[in-house]
Amino acid sequence: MDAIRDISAESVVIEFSEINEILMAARSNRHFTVFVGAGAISDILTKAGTEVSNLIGLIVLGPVDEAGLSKASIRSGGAMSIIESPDRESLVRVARRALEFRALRALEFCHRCESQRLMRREAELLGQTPETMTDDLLSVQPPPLPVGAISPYRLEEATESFEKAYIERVLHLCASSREAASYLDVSSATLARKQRRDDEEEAS
Amino acid sequence: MIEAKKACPKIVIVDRGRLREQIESVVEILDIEVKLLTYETVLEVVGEAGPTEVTAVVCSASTAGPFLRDLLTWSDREELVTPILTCLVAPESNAEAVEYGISHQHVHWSDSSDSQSSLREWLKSVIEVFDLRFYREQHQSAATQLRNLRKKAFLGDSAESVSPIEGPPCGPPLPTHVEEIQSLRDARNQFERGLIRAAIRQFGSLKAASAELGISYTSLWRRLK
Repeated sequence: MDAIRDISAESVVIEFSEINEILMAARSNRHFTVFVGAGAISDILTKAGTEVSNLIGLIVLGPVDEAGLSKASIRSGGAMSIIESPDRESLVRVARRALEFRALRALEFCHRCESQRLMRREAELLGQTPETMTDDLLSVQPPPLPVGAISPYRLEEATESFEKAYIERVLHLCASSREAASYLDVSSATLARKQRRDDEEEAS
Repeated sequence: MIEAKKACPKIVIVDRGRLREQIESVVEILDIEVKLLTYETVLEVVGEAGPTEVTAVVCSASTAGPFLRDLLTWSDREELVTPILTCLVAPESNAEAVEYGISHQHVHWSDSSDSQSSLREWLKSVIEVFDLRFYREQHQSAATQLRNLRKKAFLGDSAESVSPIEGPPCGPPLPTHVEEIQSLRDARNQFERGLIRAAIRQFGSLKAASAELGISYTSLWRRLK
């Protein structure tokens, strides 16, 4: 832990004790690198290996042989790297690699989402009504950014439309408006006012 | 950064009358750039030597005659990822052709008696679909490059330098888990940045972009900073 704190002057070091906390970190939009003790890696890979390793760099620290594991099985299970005797240099190198991996994943996700939005808009223009399209939570995204000479670019209208979609999604994910307001970092009154305004717009 | 080259939409016209002139006049009104290819029979289009990489087809029912079915099948053939936008110009009295045409989702019917305004709206869709496809390909290509780099980073391979095309801007994805929720202010700012970049990319100058965005030049400059 001291070695990790030593290399993380500009980062926040959080200690996780539950596998759910690692999953939450992996799914969040923050840039995480997860260092795991050799004794705990087997359990993590069994419970959440593929999902976690697709999203985040898992670095295994400590002698794996003593934990009764083989390096090959850990690597093929989804761990990014194994460092049996951690030192400052190797930790910095691997942490940098894991953060790069995470940043590339975030950028890739943005491009894939935008591509999917453009695909949906194209489907609409080709006559597929929204009712015939999937309403899967993972694929429903706000409208694509404008793409060409005859697209509308009005900043205020487009931003309002995005904000509406964003609030709707957050309300869907949260148990209450109060919780949604807290995640959105606005007061409950502000959120209620925005919802009322959206409802009035829809009614008119 | 490499700037991606953008071609212009290729529109096939199947007509022996004055349809091309009508389309040319609409193209002039909309001030857009398109490539028009005129054919006198459906068979020339659907045959082996027919046009490729077609964005849209516009066809008069009288010229297509009984081969309308072949043309519509060709415009929605299996090898295409998405069908070719098709406009059928026919009088309402030609009920058989009209009914057959509008039973296909990708076909737009334009009444011969009022084809000018209808063709204008349809051509706007054609341009938008063309742009959507162009930028979608760019997003997919950028995502593939990023995925390859991510795999290399995972395996610890040294990544060779890549020159991605000047990437199309991305709006922020909506969250799918509570852990992904950003504050409303951050999400709005991210969306605005994407929109401003899209406008600058499209219109070339800050002045033109600010006019399209409906904000002052000073405001755009401030937001960019």
